[in-house]
Amino acid sequence: MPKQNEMPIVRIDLGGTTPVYRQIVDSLRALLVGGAFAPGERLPTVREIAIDLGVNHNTVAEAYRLLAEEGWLELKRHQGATVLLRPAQSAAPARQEDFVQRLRELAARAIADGVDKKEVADLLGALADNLKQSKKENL
Amino acid sequence: MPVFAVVAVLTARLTRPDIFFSITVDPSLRQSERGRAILGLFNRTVIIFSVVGMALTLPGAFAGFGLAIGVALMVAGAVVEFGGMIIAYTNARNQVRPYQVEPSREREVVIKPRSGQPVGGGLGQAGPFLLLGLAAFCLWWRWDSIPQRFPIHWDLYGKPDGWAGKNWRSVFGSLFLGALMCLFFSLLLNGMARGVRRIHSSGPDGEKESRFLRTMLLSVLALEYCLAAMFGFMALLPRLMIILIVGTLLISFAIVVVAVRCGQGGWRMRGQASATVPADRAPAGDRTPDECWKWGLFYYNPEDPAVWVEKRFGIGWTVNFGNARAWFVMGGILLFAVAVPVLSILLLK
Repeated sequence: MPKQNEMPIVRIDLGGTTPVYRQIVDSLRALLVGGAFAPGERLPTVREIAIDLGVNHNTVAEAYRLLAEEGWLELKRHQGATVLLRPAQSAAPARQEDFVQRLRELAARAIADGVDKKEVADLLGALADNLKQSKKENL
Repeated sequence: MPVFAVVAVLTARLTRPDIFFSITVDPSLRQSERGRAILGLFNRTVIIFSVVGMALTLPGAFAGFGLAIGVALMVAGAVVEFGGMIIAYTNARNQVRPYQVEPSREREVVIKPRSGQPVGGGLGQAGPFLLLGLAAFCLWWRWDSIPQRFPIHWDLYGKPDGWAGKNWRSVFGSLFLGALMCLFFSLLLNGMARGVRRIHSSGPDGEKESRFLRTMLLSVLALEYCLAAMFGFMALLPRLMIILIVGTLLISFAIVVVAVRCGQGGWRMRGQASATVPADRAPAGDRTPDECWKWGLFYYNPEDPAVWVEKRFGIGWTVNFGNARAWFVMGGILLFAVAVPVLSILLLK
């Protein structure tokens, strides 16, 4: 999760297996959850992001649309996207279980790729602290 | 003509470290023995053809041959020089091609709207037009003092050889032309400020790139001021034109020096050293596919939304000919190139 004083950057891999629009959604969502943008803040236009990433406008537009559906953004024609104050969501138990399972799989994959177990644990701990911090600042 | 040879030799050294003769390579190639050999051969070829070209051009211009022979020699000299540059460049590209690497497929973007502020600020951009407006006001204020016939063109020795009668077209025509040229540059630099792709968004490379873009766009703005001053003085104080022409040439030269010191994308600018690319990662290049560069000079990629992309051989940007908007830009440039001389003839009769 980005710290508040870091520049909010989205990174994608055009050669990755995850569709590009999904990478943009996941990356932006991480920034939004981490409090990188204040409610009411305007994001770059679809065109600006598409130019810098070198992807089709529709790819970025789809990412923005999905985030708008999740309640993160408000989209206005010719005005770009504005960050919304998203009401707190309550996840269904199945959703939480799914998240824990995915986290477990992600950690296992990192360890299988050679990342030290302790390092994985430390990183997860740092992420958790960052999340708690951003949650406090958004109250 | 020697200027073109110098420009060609310098240009090969100013491109990004991971772009060598318009091909994406490992950044270490340019400093390697093989890279230096390729560059050395390019330089020697350019210089030899330039010398041969001058050996034809100079006699054609100054040896007192007849007009037909003189012009033929000068044309032959130019063909030899430019043909030699093309040969040198093509040969160098062919030698670099075996070292081509696939550029990184990673991309990054800062999630921050591009500044809505015009380059140089609103007042900075209005400045050239205010200068021309001031000149127009002075001419209107002192209309009665303007002679019935005044010079509008001077020969190489500073002697007037073109005259115009006192009418609103002749008096204000040069100011109108100046405003048109300033408007063109203003549209160009604002379009580029919004449309140029940022290759690096973070780190030392990102910071240098931002400074490079700002420097180049401010240089264009400086040139606008020179044009405004030149056209303003052309109308008000034509005898001082030579000072302005010299001044503009000096400023243009200074801009070239600045561009050389920056290097393409600002990689030569002072600042933190660029992060070394790890051995297991592909170089960033300029985020455009090699295969979309025709002869390494013309970029054609309909899949790329960018109108402006960095040149691969040279400093600055070129258009993406695969993008429909780019053709509007090129059309605008062509229209401007035709309109200015035509308007000059019509207005300054």
